[in-house]
Amino acid sequence: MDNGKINLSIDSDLHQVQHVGEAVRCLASHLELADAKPSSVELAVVEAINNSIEHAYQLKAGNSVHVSFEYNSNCLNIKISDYGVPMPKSIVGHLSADIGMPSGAVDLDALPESGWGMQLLKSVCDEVSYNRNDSCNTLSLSFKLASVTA
Amino acid sequence: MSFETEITNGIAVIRVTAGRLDAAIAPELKKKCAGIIDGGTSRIMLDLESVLFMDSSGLGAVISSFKLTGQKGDFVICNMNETVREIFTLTHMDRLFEIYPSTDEGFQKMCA
Repeated sequence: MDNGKINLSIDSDLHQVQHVGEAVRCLASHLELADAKPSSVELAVVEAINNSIEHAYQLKAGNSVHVSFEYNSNCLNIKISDYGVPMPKSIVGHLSADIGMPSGAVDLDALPESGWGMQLLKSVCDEVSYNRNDSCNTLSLSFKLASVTA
Repeated sequence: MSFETEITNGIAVIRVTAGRLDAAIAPELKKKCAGIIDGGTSRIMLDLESVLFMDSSGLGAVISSFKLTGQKGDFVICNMNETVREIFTLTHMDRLFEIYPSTDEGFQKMCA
């Protein structure tokens, strides 16, 4: 399989996120993903970009969110980068912990309305990691391709 | 407009006409539901037939709307496609919400 890399950028505007999401889904549909679906790749990227816009850039437009879509014969690696404030520790924590559905009776008042993004992202990716270097936040997502499990 | 609302027999049917229930329109859904409940209707059917994609913000808006209906209200979701259904499955919200394949079945439950 050929290697490939595509770089995309959008303004930090929530209304622009769908364009990258749809582009990524289309690109992913041309790869033989091992476990994920193209729609899952789209979801993960959208969640990551939303995170950049909402937390790193605090919903201020006029900043850039960069998406790097790179694949080889083994995996698809997507990096979402921004130059905003660091990812809050509470959200970094969601990368390693679940906020999922409590067992037994549900206290509706305590049911979280936010914070599901990282859990969804973790659920559909094979690997997720966060890094901050030189004022740049990077969320790295990895999806195995079918050739790995063959 | 991303939503169409129709109130019949005390049940508000909110049809999401936007193809994506995402961070861009999630606040609008919360506001729409809050307005309906403030207006005295606490029985809501959310029709997702046109929704091809949902993210966590959309899910959060649905959860928020469900919570607003309260103990005395009613909240069902209809016409969910496979991609949207997966969001509910991954977060186990499919155990919490009443989800029906059609509005007819949703109405049958709500009118029972």
